[in-house]
Amino acid sequence: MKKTTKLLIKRAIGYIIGLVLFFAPFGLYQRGLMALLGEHGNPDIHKVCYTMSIQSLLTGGLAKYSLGVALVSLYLLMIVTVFFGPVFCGRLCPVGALPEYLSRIMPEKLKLKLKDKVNPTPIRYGFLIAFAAAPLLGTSLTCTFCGFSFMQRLLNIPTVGNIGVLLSSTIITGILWLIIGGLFNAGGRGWCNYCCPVGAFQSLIHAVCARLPFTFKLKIDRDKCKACGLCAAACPMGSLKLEGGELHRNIHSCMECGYCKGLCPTGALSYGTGRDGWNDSMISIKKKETADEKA
Amino acid sequence: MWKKWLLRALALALAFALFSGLGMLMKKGVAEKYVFTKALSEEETIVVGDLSKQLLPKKLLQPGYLDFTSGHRGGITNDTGKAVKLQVVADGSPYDVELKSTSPGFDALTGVYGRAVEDGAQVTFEALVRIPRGELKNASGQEIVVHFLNADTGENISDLVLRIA
Repeated sequence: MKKTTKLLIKRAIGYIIGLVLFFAPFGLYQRGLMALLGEHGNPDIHKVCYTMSIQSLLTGGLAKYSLGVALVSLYLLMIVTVFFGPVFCGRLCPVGALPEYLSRIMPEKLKLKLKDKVNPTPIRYGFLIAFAAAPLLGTSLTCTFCGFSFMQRLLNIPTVGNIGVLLSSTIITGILWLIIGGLFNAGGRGWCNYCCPVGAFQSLIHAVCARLPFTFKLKIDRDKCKACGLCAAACPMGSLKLEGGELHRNIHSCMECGYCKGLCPTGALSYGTGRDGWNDSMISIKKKETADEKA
Repeated sequence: MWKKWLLRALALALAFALFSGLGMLMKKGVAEKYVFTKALSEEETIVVGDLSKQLLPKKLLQPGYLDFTSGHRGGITNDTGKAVKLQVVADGSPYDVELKSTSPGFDALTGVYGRAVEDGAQVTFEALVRIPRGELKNASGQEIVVHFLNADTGENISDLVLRIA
């Protein structure tokens, strides 16, 4: 079996675990937490609802929340992100994984190269600001524009027998999430890159906390990197780029999925604590080649 | 360098404007969901489902599947002064109607709520109405009455009228 296939299967296992943990009819995470907190309700993704609690946190409305599944989940997400980066996105979230894996069945020539053409950083933070400001502006970007909710609808089909009532907003969300951002987009992570407040929120935390020595992050050993570009070509978020013969990473869109680390033929990429090495002085390819030749 | 930052700031502002605009459109889409509140002391509450307010995506894909809901967190208030074991029953509907509730123990088959609703407490209620595509033109003016009954005595406490416009 090819290395890429192995890695994709390994990652898929994580996303399936995420699906079983967070989405009905399974919702093992919610069931466990509800039992622990003595809470009742439907163990679907709405019980956790990261989007509403993040919006409440950003707008100062979190005080209205009682300590329940949603609030505990938000705190857990934040703690995990502080120490390990946005691993919820990269290793567990099936909402991002579904369009990514769908996009792999589409021929490359039919796909938009959004991640190469539109820098996701200002867009996703612009979205996060619009999302946080929505209650003040009287707009709606939570339940009406939610990939998590759409995923839950898809999973309800086998148990309920239909996808439920679709509003225009739900239909637009589905098209952006699965079709434009997924199926017809290189990497399939258009929704994650531009439209997911949960991802943007984690990236913001990670961009700050990755500077701390005790937190986990994607690291590079410039001495080992041969700038082959294998990782950059494969990165579903487009956060790795080969520019001027050197590998660069955009921490604001990296979801710490570990795909690049697994693909790296020289072991230059790793995930751990300490300095990340991305800002280390670059060893130019020419110098490297000369050194290789001499050796 | 400053040009790069200026471009980023512009992109950020543009994204903010774009997504705020999208949020406005999404808000309009919310009008396709008919949200209401109801007090059980009211003899009759009328909720209007206006099909003409549907946006194009809904019109094209699922124009006849309508959602009348009291929301996730309650919306139906027992203000009758006593605890009551509630049952909901749809009456006189020419269309397929599904009655739902997220309140604990609700039985979708019988429409009986699992626990008695204390005075002042709230429960949720949702009615999903399916109008076949071919009947949409003649749907305007049709009414579906949902009776809120005392499940123990069968007494009719209050009515909810779902009116299609």
